[in-house]
Amino acid sequence: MKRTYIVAIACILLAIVLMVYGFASPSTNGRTARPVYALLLPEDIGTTVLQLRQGAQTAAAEQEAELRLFIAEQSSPAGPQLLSFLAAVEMLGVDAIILGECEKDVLEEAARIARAQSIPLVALWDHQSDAEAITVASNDGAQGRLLWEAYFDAGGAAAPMHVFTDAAARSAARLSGFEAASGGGATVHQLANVTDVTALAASLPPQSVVFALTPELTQALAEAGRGQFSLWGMDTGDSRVPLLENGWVSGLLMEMPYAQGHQAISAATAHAGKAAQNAFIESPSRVVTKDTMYDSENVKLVFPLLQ
Amino acid sequence: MICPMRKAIEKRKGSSLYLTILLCSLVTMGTLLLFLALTLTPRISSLLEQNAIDRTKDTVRQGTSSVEVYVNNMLATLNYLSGLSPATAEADGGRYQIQLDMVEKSQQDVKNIAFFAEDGALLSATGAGLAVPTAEVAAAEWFEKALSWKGTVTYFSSPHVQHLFTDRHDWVVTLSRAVDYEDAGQVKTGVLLVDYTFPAIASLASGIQLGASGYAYIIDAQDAIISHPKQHLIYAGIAGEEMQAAIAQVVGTTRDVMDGRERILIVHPIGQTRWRMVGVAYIDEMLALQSAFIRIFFIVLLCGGLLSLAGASLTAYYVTRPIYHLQEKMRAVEEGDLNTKITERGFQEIRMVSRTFNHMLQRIRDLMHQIVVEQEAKRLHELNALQAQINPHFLYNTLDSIIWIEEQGRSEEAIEMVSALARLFRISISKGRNIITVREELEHVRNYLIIQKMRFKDRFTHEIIADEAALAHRTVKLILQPLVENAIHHAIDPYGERTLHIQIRAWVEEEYLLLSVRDDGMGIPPDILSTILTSPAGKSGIGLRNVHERIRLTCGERYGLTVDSVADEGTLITIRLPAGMEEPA
Repeated sequence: MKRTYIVAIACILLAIVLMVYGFASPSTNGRTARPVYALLLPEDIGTTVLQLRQGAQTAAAEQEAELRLFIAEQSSPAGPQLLSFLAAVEMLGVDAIILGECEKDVLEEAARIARAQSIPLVALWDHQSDAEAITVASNDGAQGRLLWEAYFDAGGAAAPMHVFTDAAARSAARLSGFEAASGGGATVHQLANVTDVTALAASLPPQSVVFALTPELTQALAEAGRGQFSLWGMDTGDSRVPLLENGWVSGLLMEMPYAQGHQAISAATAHAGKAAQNAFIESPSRVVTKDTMYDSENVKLVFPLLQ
Repeated sequence: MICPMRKAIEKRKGSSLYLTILLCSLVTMGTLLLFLALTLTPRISSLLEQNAIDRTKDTVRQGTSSVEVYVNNMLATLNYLSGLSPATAEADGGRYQIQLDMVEKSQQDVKNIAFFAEDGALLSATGAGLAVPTAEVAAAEWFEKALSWKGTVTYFSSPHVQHLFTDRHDWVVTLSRAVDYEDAGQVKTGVLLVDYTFPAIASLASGIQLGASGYAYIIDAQDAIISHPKQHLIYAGIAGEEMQAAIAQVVGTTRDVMDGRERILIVHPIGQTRWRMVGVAYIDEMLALQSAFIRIFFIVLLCGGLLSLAGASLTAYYVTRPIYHLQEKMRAVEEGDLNTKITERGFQEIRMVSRTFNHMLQRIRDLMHQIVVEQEAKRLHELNALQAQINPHFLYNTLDSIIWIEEQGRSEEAIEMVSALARLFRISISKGRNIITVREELEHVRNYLIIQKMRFKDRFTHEIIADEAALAHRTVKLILQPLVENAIHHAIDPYGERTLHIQIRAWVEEEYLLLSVRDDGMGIPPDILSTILTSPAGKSGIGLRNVHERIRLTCGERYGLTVDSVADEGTLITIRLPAGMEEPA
């Protein structure tokens, strides 16, 4: 008798467990909650930041993650605002921190929080520091090389070459890549101040080929030269279209902030649950000229479709 | 043909009823569940899959319809503008220009409206002036195609950045059509251009959601992507799109595999344009409901099986419990406890068996009691018969007769009498046997008669006639002597005037062994005759009734004594016994 009741009760209990497990809603059936990522940006101006946000938001939607934006206001210095954002993020508890280009102390604080909470830190620029972070950015050295190759592929003739750069680490990396690709031979002008460009530009021979390794230098040289020399530089943002159309620049190296934002979220998801670690994910770049600015693969870079 | 299961069960011969009920219930339920699974699962899966595909198609169709509605609105605007009379500002005082401005302002999605002469010269435009040379306009595809179609067909461009106009770089779709106009009295043909903002169209396509990962994109007549939710990533080289299957399909539904996931592609033309909407849905997401259904269905089947097992187990238990109870009680009876009573419980059939078993037990108890009573009666009768043999009066009289004879010096007669007495008692005891041969019974009565003869001398005579065949048969012992004793005591003439004759016979007739004692005495009065076999023993001892009862107890109801008597003529007592009676074991 006992055995019969034991068998019957065991079968009924097992059936109940199966029914509960089988009919449990997906949200309680082993699926984890949506991950939360924090995106901290020092500024919110320009199409570049907008595209970066859009790419990140699109990726977050695809991966069913929640993206919380922390964007510093232009009216105040970005550093202290970002630090306060990080304090809030630390209290909130997120699954990843994605950080736009910022000062070293902000980066180190973000790295500390990521380490303490065993979450990944994704840096959107090549910070070249000891902070443990997954870097999603363009390879500056490769950018320098791309710039040279675009000029060369466009039938660049032998001409006096001048490279304008500044003291920033990214510029140095670009210069290194440029020189490695070009084999040297270009005159390097390292400027402490952008305003020094005007005088220098006026002294350049008309057939010169000028390479500018920062957007600011590119803008300044384009305005100074006004097409007198062939200028190849970095994307100047919203002024890129008239510069290209007017011929004041021959080619602009353009990053892909939408893709970068998308890659940042994908990297955060891929490293979810693990502490930040050093890794570099290259974000693509491309050189666009006046002739190619309306090509299908470039037109959306030059004229981003923003929503 | 015997069912294999039945054969297997019969082969076991004695399989547990509990297990049989359990297995039969499980097999029945299992067969039913299996039947449901095999018939319902494919059908419902197919229906769910088809339903998912149909819903996906409907979604794509609706998205396409939205784009078509937008496109129709664009064409309606173009048609309206085509109906106006194009003219330069100088020619009509700016009326045409005002009309164009009104249309542009009234429609949020119109970015540029311009009218060009046959050579590409700008005749009228909303907003800014021309930013490119006239030759470039004339060479543009939208211009050339519109002119060549002479207003019969509208040119529909792919989305592009419009850079014809100063300080304007909008993402647009350009519609162009050749329109005739009058210039200085001449009819000329120009080209009307209307730029519609593209993001509005792109958002219609990007808003189509086909499952968690599905999406829709638009391709043009040259199979180039017009709008794609991942266009940025595709151009960045981070993502890709497999379009071969969609391009090959042209219109309709097809399937392909990308990144290891099977996709269903729904290609739908967008009317008025040569664009096509391609809806991409992932099969694994579409069939998530199907998977969930199958999972739940099988969980339900499994639960059904478990509950069936529980139910079958309990049913088998409750069916067999009364039988086990019955079995235990029967075992108790088998071990000798005849006072066991089975509680009538359980199913009707089991109750009936229990009731019948109780009746059987009661019957056994009654029969055993009856046997005990009969054996007791038999023993008592035998005891009485034996007691008669050692009747003190008979013994006293016999011994007295022996003494008297011996005193008379008739030693030989005394010896004969003592011998006869000894033989009488020996046969009476017969080593405890109840059944003896006819020869021994006759010997017994003969010895009795020897003794009585010596006492009664000539007052009676006797003869014993026995068939040789009857001598070997068996009879209940001590049945003749009481009859002879009765005859001597009751039939003999008390006055001694007549000599009583006693005849003892033994013969076999058919299946009966017959013994008789006849006398020619006074007979038995009718009133006594009627109750002679039922009345208790008379003063001579055990009586006829004792003999009659013993015969009936031993041999059965149809055997015993019959007494015939006629007054003054005599009495015949016939003893009926079964022929061939065996010595009891």
